[in-house]
Amino acid sequence: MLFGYIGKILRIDLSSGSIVTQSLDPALARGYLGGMGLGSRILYDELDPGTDALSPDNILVFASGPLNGTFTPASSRIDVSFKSITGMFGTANSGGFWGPELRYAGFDALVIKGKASSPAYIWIDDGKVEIRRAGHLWGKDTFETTDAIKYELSPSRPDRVRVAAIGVPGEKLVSFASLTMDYYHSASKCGIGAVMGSKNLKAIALRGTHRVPVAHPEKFEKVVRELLQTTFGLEAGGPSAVDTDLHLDAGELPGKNFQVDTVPHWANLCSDAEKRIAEKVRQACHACDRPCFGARVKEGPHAGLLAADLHSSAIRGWGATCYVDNLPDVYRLHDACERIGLDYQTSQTLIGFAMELYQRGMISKATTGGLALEWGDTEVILELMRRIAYRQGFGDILAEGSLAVAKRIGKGVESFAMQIGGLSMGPHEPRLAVGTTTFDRAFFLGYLTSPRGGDNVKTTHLAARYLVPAKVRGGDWEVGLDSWLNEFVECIDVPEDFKRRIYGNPPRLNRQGYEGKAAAMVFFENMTTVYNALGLCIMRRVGPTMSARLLSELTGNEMTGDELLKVGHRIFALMWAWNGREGVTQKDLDFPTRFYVDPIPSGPNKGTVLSREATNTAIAEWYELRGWDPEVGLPSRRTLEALGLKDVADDLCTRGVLKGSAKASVSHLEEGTR
Amino acid sequence: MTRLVLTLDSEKCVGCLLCELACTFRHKREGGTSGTRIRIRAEEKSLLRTAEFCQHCESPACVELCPMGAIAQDQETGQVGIDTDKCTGCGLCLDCPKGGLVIDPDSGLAANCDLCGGNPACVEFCPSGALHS
Repeated sequence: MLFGYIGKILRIDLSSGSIVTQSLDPALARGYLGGMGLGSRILYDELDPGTDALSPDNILVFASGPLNGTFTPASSRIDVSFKSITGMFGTANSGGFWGPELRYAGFDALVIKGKASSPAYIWIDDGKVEIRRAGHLWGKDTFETTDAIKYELSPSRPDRVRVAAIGVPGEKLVSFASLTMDYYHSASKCGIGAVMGSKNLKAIALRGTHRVPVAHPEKFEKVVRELLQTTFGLEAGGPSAVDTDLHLDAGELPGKNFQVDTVPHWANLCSDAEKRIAEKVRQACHACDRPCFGARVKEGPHAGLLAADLHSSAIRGWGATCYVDNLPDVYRLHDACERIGLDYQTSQTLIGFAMELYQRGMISKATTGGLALEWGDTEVILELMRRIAYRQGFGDILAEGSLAVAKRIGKGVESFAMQIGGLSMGPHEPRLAVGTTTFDRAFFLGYLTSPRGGDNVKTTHLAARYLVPAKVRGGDWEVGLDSWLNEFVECIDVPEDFKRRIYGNPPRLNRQGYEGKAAAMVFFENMTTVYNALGLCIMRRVGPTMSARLLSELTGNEMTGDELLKVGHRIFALMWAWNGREGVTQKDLDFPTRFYVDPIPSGPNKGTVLSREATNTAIAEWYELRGWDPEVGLPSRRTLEALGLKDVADDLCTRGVLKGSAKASVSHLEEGTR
Repeated sequence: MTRLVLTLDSEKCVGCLLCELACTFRHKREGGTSGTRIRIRAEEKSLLRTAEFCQHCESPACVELCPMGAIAQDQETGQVGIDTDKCTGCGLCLDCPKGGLVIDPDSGLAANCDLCGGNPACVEFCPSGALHS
C-alpha cells in the first residue's frame, strides 16, 4: 500500500473519449510528492515543446498533494499544471473543497488532454467516470453552471458534489479566464479557463468516499495536534482590510496603475470602513483552522452581498490600481470576477492599464466603443468585464491581455502594461522595500524568478510575515526590536545556514537593503514549491521541519526538512527546465521600466526608484546560491544532476538549450545543492 | 443523570469539516470523511450550517425502529449504543428524525456517535469552538 496516496491517476482523452486508470508510481510520489511536483513531471514528460496552449494537445494536470484529505490544517489546495497561454509554465492553485474531493472520488491526479467534439463536463462519482453533455450549460456563468450541475447530480445534497466550472470567458478563450471551484474559490491564473474552454470542457464534478491510508496514525495525529497549537486563530483570518491599513501606512499602493502611491479615498477602504458597512462571516476551506474570508454588506443597495475569499490584494487592486473609492463596489467587482469567471488580479491590472491609456489620451471613446474609462468608475469596469467575457468591441482586444493591447495600439504604450513575462503583476509596489512591517526586498525579487512570470505567489509571496512562531506572534516588536528579533529568528523554522544568510549574525532586520535577500528568495521558493506539492496553503505557513514530520508519519518514509526543501528545488528547477525547453529563461523576466525610471511621486516613499544595479547583484547572487547558470538563465546541468534530474539535463543538452553533450558525466555531484 | 451529548453552535461553525475528518480518523485511522458519524451540512452560498449526529435522546426513536433489538440505551449514562452482533444493517434506524445514525461504509452496519469514550475527537479538533460536549 502506498501510504499517503490513493494510488491512482485518472487519464481522460476528450478527443477519443478514452478513460484510463493508472497506478501512481511510488518513485514518482516520493520524488515529486504530488500537486505541482507531479504536474511538472507529467508536463515535462508528456507535452511536446512548442504546443499551442489552446490546441487539443495541451495537457491539464489536476494534482492533489499527499496531505489533501487528511485532517492536517489548511490542507485543501489543489494544483493545476498546463501550458500557460503566455507560453510559460502554467500553474494555478485553489483552496476550497475540490482538491480533497478528487481523492475521495478515487484519484490522486486527473490528467486531461484532447478536445471534446461538443461541450462536455466530467463527472467522477466514487471511482466511476463519465463524460456528460454540457450543451445546456454553455453560455452560463460559473455560479449558474455550478448550481445546475450540483442539483442535476445530487438534488438532495447539492453541497456534497464539488464542481469546478468555467464561465463564458473560458468558452470564448479569454486569455485570463479562470476556473471557479464551488462558487468562492478559484484556480485562476495563466488562462486556465481558456485551456478548459479550448477542450470544450465546461466543468468537472466530483464526489466520493475513498480514504487516504496513513502509515503511522498515532504519530501523525500527534503532529497534527501540535500544528493546531500554533494556529493563528480565527481572528487572524481576513477579510483583509486590516492588511490594507498597513499598506496605506507604508505608502505602498499601486494607485492609478502604479502612478501614485497615496490614495485620498483610502479611508473608505480601511478596516474601520469595513466594520461600518459589513458584518464578518466566516467560511473555511476544507480542514482549515484559519478561515480567511469573508464579509457581508449589512445594509444599503448591496445589502447581503458576500465578499468571499477577499484578500487585501483584491481591495488594493480595485481600490488603488483602478481607483474605486468604496468597499461595496470593491465587493461587487470581486464577486463579478468569480461569477463571470475572470482572474481578478489580471482584470484589475489590465483595466488599470486601459484607464491610464485613456487618461493620457492614448486611446479615446472611439477605441473603447463609447466607454469613458475614468478612474474608479465601477459601472464602466463592470461593462468592460462583460465586453471582455463576450469579446465585444474593445473587450475583444482586452481579452488577449495587455501585451496584445499594446501591440494593437502601438505608440510605445507597452511600458504602461504592468506585466512580467506576459502575466499581469499583482498590486504590489516593487519600488519599495519597506511595505508593511515585514515586507522586504526578497518579496519583490521573487517576481523575477517565478516560473509562470507575473507575480510572486509561486516564489516569495509568503516572505511577508513568514513563519512567525506562536511564541512571539503579536509581540510588541516596536518596543524591543532587538530582543523580539533575536527570539523570532531563533524560533522560526528555517535551516540554520539559511537563517544566517538571510538575517545575518547577530540577526538584524534590513528590509530596504539587498543583503541576504537572495538567500531568502531561495528558501521561500523551495518552501512555496513544497506547499504546492503537498497540498498545503501558503497562508498557513507550516515550516519545513513540521511539513517533513507530517509527510514522514503520513507516508512512512522518513524525510527531513532539508530533504523536503531539496524536493522543492527539484520541482522548481524542473519547471524552469520546462520553460527553457519552450525557449523562455529567467533572463526574459524583468519589471516594467516604470519602476526603474519613475520615482514614487508622493507619500512616505517619495522619490524612491528600484535600483537596477542592486537588483542585478541580488539576482546574480541568487544564481550562485542556486547553482544555476546565469549565462543561460536556467538550472545548470550539474545542478539538475544533483537534483536527480539527469534525464532532464540530457534532454536540454541534446536540444542545445544547455551547454554540453547529453552523454557527459559529471564526477562531482554537489550534495545538498539547493 | 448527566448525559454527554454534542452540541453545535451554527453561528460559530466555519464549515471546515475538521469534525468529520477527526471523527473518521479516530474511528478509521485514515484520512477522509467517509465513515464519519457527525455530518455537517454547509450551504455554500447562504453559509448556513447544520450538523447531524446522535443526540442520545431521552426516548430514542432508533431503539423503537430497530427490528433486531440491536440498539439500546445505557440507563446510567443515557448513551445510545449499537450491538453490532445483532445489527443486520437493514437501515430502518436511519429514519431517526435527528439523522443521528449512519450505515458504516466498511461494516455495512449501523453506527452512531460513541462520544469517543468521553473525549470526542470532533470537539477537540474543532478550530472555532462551535462544537461542545
